[in-house]
Amino acid sequence: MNGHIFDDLPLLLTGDADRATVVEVAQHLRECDDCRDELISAVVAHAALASAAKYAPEVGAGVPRLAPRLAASDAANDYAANDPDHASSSGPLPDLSAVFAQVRSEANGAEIAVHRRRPPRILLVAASIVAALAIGGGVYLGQNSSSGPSARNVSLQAFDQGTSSAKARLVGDNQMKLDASSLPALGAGRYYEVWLTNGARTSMAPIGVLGSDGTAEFRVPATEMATYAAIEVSVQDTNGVGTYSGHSVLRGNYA
Amino acid sequence: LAEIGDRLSSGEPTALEDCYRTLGPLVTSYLGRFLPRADIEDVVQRVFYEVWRLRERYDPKQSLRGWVLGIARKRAIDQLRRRRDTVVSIDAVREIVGDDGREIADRFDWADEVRTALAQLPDAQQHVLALAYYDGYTQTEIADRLEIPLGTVKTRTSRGLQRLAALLEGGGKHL
Repeated sequence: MNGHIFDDLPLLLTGDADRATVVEVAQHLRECDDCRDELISAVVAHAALASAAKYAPEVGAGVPRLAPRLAASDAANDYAANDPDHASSSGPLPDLSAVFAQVRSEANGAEIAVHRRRPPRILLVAASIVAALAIGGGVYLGQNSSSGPSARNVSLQAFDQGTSSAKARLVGDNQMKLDASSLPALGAGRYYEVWLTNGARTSMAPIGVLGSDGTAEFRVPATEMATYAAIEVSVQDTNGVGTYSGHSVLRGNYA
Repeated sequence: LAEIGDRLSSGEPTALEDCYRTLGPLVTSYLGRFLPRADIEDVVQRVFYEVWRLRERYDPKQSLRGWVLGIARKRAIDQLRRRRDTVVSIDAVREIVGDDGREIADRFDWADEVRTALAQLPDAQQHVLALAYYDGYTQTEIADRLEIPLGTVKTRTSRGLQRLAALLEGGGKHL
């Protein structure tokens, strides 16, 4: 083997080289700086591709090639990949046009009028994250105010179609724990949603939904808390388009 | 990606759309590892909305891909916690919540960087590498399937690996 052996190097890495080739290539590599350098680069790329294919084969799904023939790696043989309810391969991406519209609206600083705001589904979702974050992170909003951020209580009174009252506890400038367990249980297809509104009720933002026990915990950006002045709870229809229903049952000013 | 990250951190709304166009498939695939199909759309929405809301926390010097996957991991954990009413594989929960979860996010980050680099290779090189690594074909089998000489497969593989290594070693956050 006198010339460079660049094209044979990948065989060493993929296990396709036979014994004779391995021995021959090894002897050549001990004497050839160029091929050793080439081997280093081949190792880098091989390691990267092998890792990608082994641990995240889904990511390579968009790479044009022939239909897969071999079994997927162990990483793909997990719970999600074997469950028909799970999406482990590429498919149509979820439609995020509502998110993008909301983001453009926020970026433009547009105030969103009550009854005309749509579709806040993503914000409901976002608020749910917020609630989940608070719960998942073990945040307890009723903590002793002497050892943490300042806290205060806000009373929410029956409003519009409501007949019961509730209370909220605000901790610092971005945490809220709402106890509206006095609200009557709703039938199927309806749920309680929590909003921040301004004093004149000309703009509002959804921050999340009440749990089945009538309570919820939220983290709300301080800027958003500062933008609005009151907490309001409405009854929403799960089949609705996601806009404010116009049927509020609780309201309380915090600013 | 670096350019998208810069625009995102400066509050440009179209950056989020570009971010989704670029990283949406990755995030969707990642979430598909842990979540039922029915949950993925909502969680993807949450992830990218949070990407926007937390954009001021994003440091353009760090990997946008890694940052977004970090958010996706947290939201997937939230979703699994909320699905207490349904059967969720213990392995899936353990996998994403523990150290392995971070490792998997890192693996996806790395795999997507590799895929991005691979996509920058000439089609002929890209094709033989994908067949070899993602589908497990030998070089002889690739030659048969593509009906090209074995020597051509070897050359394309060798050149492709060299170019890919250069991209990965020199690409950094631009991949």
